[in-house]
Amino acid sequence: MSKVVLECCNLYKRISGKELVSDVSFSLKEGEIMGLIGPNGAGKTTTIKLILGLYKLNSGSIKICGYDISRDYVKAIGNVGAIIESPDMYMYMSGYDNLMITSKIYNISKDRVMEVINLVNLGKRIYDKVSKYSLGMRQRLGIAQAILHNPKLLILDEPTNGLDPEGIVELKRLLKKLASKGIGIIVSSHILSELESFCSNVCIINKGRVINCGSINKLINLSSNNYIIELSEINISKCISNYNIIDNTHIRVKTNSLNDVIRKLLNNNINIYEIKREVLSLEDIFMSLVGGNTID
Amino acid sequence: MIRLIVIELKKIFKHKSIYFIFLFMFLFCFFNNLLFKLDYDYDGRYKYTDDINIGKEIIRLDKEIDSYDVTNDKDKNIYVSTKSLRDVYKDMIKYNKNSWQYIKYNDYMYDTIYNINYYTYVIKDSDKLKIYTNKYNKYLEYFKSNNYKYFIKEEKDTLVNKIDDIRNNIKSINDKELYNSLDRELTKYNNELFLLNYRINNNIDYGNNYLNRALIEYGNAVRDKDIYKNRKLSFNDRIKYNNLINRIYINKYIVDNRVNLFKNNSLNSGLRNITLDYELFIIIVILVSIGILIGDEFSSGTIKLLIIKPYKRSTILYSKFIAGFLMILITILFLIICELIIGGFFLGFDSLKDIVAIYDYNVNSIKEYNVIIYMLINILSRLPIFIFVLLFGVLINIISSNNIISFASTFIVFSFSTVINNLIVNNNIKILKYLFTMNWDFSSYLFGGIGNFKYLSLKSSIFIYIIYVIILLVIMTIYFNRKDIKNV
Repeated sequence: MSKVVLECCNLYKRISGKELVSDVSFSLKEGEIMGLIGPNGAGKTTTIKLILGLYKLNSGSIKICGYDISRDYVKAIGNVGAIIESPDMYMYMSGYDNLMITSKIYNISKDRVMEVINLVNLGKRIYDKVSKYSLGMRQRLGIAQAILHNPKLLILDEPTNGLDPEGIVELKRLLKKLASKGIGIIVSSHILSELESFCSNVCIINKGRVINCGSINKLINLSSNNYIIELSEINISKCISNYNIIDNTHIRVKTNSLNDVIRKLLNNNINIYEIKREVLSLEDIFMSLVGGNTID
Repeated sequence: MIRLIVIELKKIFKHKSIYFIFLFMFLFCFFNNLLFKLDYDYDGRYKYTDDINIGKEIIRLDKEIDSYDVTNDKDKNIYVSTKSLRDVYKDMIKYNKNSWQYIKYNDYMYDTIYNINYYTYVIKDSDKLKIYTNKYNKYLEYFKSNNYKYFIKEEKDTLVNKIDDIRNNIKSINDKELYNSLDRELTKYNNELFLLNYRINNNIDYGNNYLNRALIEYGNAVRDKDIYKNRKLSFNDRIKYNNLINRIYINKYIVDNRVNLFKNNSLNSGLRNITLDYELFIIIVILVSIGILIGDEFSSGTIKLLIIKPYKRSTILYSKFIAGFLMILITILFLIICELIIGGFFLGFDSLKDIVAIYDYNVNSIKEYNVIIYMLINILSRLPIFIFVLLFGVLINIISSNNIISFASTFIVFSFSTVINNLIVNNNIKILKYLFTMNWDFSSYLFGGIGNFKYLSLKSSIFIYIIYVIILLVIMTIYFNRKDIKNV
């Protein structure tokens, strides 16, 4: 059975009288990739900062690999690698020097450093000053920095920022590989279609509260309450009433009225070409749960 | 934590700005020593004084003399005085301007030369002319043979006569004011006599050299010390009195041991007060280090990287502070090395073996120190200033997360500390004795010094300083531990 690498219980944070997150709870197991999604100002970054100790909790608890961060911060955080908001580098140093700082802190060998450099494809540019890097290169360096010490929990805030399509594919491959090794990964992103392709779990946050949290498949299945029927003609209002027209040949009906609709169509000699369950995308689910993109 | 400290130091030395500052320090040291080499002579005297140019004066006086008609009675007196001065200068110019002959020639010879010219052009008296001519020739011989002792003896005889006269007259004076006036004159002559005897006993001529300067300083201090005789001394009086005692003993030491303790153009002098001479550079290094270690970390967001490392926040903070402190030591060491190399190159290394003589009020005598030991003592006494500036700057930077506010406030506090302290001392504002600027420089307590403010002592200053350090550390730690790292 997979161990829990992260457990957040009833997180609450307030700054200057404004509630940033309230009653946020979720957990992450080894090998899981969780997408943390929500509109701007929902509380995603706040939640990440609370996990990492950059913000102090007003109440609630966070355990990383079993260590409570308020009591055993050093032990807890040693298991974490992260990119928060944007990769933070010492711009006046080379990429290599930046990685060496991290390697010295965690007592990591130079071989591992070179291994990670190759993994993120920085090659000889690693010896250039970070100020000369493109955004994509800085992103790669940030990822390298985050995974250098083989953390058990990896937190990435918008990791695909600045990456070209090839880079995004490589990143997904890398994250899946890391997850297969038992690393728990949290990815915060606005690009839901990307998250859908490699996340196993999702946690939807809006206005500082968790709206929904769980496996993506389960969420999609639960949300799929309709069937799509392909017909020979769309002029069927005389025989059935409880349906939505999608286009010239397709209608949508609810699951509980499917049998009735099929019977009525057949009885009225309407040809049915295809019946399939409607599959919603993560984006569709998100929009239905969150609604308009407003920030309080 | 050592690992963190090394990383913090590496951050500083990867930053170009620190090298610019070190380069400026090097250049300042270079040109400073070059100036001492070019502008000061072997005795430590500044070469380019505003002394009158004798050569030009002679030319000017010659022209003036030519404008007078010596046969005209109206012009005779002015002719004689002008010519006499010219004649004195013409003789003087033959001697080195630092020699006793050059310095004293006018004093001893002007009257004689004047009389020679007077009895030649104004009143033609061959007998008197012969007397003064013989006197002139005799004096000239003494000047040429370096016989300064003759003149000192003459001065001494004159003084002794004056003293005897006053002693004889003062007995019969009833008027209190007149009595006091004569008594003061008597004291003055006695002091002069004391100095003359000292000069004779120590074979010191009147030349412009360190021995004369020391002797004059010694004499002045001995004379001034009498003001405090039989008086209850206030704190400020004690400071002045202590300074006089210091001057007496130090200058006597210089004369007795024939050692130039105040030679500015020497490696010895350059090393002694290195933290005072390069104080501003050390402060700049501190401010830049704070900027790199704290301010830049917040503004660039790399502070997030550090905080999510497996270290307590306080460990991270203290490692930065220690790195800043090490930068102070590294800077001082760099300055010492620069001064040793550059000062040695321009001014020679010989002065390194010269001792530093200090009047120790604890034992009321001179103590001798090796220049390196003295330098280290001085550095230690002023290190608290730099530590405090570092602490203060770190705290302001953490609170404001702004390099400019931190730089400006720290620099202003440091720059105005002397003004603030002087205001407090001069206006005797007792309550402000607890201000940190009054308690961060311990150099005034070295060797038994009594400090600068009557309400403070070494023990109380150390105690107040430690309290401030603890308070700043506690505030800094609590603030940094609780600070939410917002959008950076």
